[in-house]
Amino acid sequence: MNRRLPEQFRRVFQSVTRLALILPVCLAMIAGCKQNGDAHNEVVAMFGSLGLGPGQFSYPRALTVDSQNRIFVVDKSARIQRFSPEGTFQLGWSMPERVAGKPVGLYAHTDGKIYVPDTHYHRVMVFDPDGHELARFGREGYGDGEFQLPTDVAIDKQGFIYVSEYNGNDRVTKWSPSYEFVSVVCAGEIDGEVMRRPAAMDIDKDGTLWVADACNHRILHFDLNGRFLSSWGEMGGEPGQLRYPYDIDCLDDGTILVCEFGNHRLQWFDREGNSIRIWGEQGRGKGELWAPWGAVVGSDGRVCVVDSLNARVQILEK
Amino acid sequence: MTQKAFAIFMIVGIGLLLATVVYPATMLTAKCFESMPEGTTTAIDDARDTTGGFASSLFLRSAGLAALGATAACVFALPGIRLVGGTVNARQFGLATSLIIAPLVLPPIVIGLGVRSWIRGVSEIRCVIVWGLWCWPIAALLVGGAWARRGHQLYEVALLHGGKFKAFKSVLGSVLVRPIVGVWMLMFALFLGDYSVPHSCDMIAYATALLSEATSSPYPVATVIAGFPLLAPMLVAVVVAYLVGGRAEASDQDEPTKAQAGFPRVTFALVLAMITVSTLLPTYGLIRNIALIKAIATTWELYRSDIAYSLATAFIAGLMIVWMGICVTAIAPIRRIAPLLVLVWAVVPGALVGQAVVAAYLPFDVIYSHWMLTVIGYVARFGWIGVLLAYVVVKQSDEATMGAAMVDGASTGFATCRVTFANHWPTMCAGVLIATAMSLAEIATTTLVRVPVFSPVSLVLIEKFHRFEDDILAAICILLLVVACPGIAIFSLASRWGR
Repeated sequence: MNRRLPEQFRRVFQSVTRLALILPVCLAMIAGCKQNGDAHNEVVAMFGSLGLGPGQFSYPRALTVDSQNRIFVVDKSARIQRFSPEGTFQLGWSMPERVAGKPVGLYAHTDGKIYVPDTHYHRVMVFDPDGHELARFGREGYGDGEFQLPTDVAIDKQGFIYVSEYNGNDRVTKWSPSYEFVSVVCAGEIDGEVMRRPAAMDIDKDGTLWVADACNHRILHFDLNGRFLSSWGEMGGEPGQLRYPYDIDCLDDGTILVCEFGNHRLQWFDREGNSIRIWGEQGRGKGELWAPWGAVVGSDGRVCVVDSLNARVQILEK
Repeated sequence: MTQKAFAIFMIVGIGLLLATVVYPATMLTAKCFESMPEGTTTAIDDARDTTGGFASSLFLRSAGLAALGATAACVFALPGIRLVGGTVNARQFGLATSLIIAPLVLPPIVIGLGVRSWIRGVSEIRCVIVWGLWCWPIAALLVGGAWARRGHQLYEVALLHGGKFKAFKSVLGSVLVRPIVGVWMLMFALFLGDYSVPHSCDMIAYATALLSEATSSPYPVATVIAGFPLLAPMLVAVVVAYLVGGRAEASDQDEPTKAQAGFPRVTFALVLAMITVSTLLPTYGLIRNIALIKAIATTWELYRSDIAYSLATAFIAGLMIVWMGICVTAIAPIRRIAPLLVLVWAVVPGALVGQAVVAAYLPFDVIYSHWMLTVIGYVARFGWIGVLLAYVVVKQSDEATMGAAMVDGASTGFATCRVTFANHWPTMCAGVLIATAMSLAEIATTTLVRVPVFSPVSLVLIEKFHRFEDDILAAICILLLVVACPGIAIFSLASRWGR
């Protein structure tokens, strides 16, 4: 055994120890370097806190706004809660089954119905705004009329329902207003990449479908027959780049609002994928986001974002 | 090291203990006397309302699986017991230790995910197998060590009076039963509070429900109440393990006789096979169907900031853990109870540790939103590694040198630090790296002490697990494995050098 080896190790260890003692200073300096912004000035309301009581959240993961600007939020306790436009708790209900998992999406249709992709039960459930179950459709599987972990719902002007799903069945399917399977809208390889976790969808005023292809960090654009129109977005944190887009909302003025889970921010794009505006940065304070899962714009123009790890909802001014 | 430097060293070390363990434990206890507002729903209440008796049936199922896991680990350990039991002196024991310690230091979730890649479905069986593959070295070292110290001597004596089976039976009763019971109880307690292996096996265990409680309630008392059914049997198990193990060790004071030199070939081959199945096979399962280089590149591009922060915080925690362990063990009264302290500390569920740290530092936003909170959480969770390591080193101390130092006027603590630990710096170094690796892979505590500044890689791993991003999941598992390797290597070398 080389007796010098332990001595060499000792020198290396001492060097590493010295470096490690300098590290905290460097890290503290990095952690302290924060861009000051005025994002908090744009927040007009903020509600929610950690817990399982009324008005409290346990890792909220989706929200939607109905035609009366009431806000519906679903969290990881499988409760759906309804709030007034100002954020006052109105009522709540629980999913009928929740041991296997909880929903990750919500959609409020103009007719008042609330569509809930009941993700780990591989179905979509339909409620009225007071939480009474109206219908459910879908079953577990990979075929027609079946789901694997549905994530979001969108409905076109004719009442056809579009459902996105993942877990090896990454696709969007189309259903009739009477909840019967119609067709597969899009699946598989699209523009050079196989779709991976279509986390959210929306249909714009022109009647075209926008899909957040989350794990490919891009946005896909189709017509309602599934014809591919365009895609944009690439992985990153710069303006125009995306990191795990988990929600998408098409605004009346043609802009696209994307909620980025990985970048802890909201980003607005034009239809060609050019970044228009960015809001939010990582943190716990007002105007900061921490792993947001969803964002939606109400008819009053205010943006509601579910700030998941902070267990709250923030409402931004127009 | 001068006396003044030693004093500063000790003050900082004890300060670490106070800041990371004593203060959080005190605050958690104080919070338990705060009542929750009337009508507060807890996660366990919610689960009970859903499925009626969910919590109790979940606990019984978890306990049953933990018992099976402990049994599986004892069975898997048989070749290792034979190997360790055949060692004749401390050096050979060190060699055997260096060989079999690898599965113990590897992140159990990596083993679990690796086994998952080979076996799908049958979650409960997978969970038992993974626990067995992870912890069989504990049984091998402790039971094999008991055989090496005394069992072999008694066996040879008993052979004079009867056949092999009868001789073995007599030794089993007098020497091995206690270590086996002690080890079984220890592993039962460990598995009962484990979160990561059931999670990697697509299962919900009671530890899962406990973490759910901790993450969904602003009232620490709810977590403590939920954790009590878990903690009580675990503490009973470790106390029994300590009492039984302590008596077994007390009776093994004789010098070992000369057993056969070298390791038996068949036994050695079996041990190598067990190590392969525990470490290499799961690793290969993770990477066999993915483009690993591309996955690593993608992971680096997406998470390099988080990886850097995670490594740095874990390493800083590792340094603090060993520092604190040295200082704590240098205090004689604490050193006397160190084994029990280590056992109790090691089995406290990560959710409770995290909840204690949050309860302590939530009022101090300057810490609560800073990465130091994560470091504190790691130290609180794995401080027992520092104490264990320091205790083992002190037990091996050269008493003559220590005595000479004390005759020259050094205090016991100063002599312990200056003489003992200085001569065992490779082991200390290995301890830092092992604690770093374990902190990096910790999930339950990290879930509670995470801060917005970065996403710890263990939580990114869980996120990828749920998102079916198998490529990034495999890359992060490789990262965890790579981080664990230096600690294993240095510990192995230190064992061989006897330092």
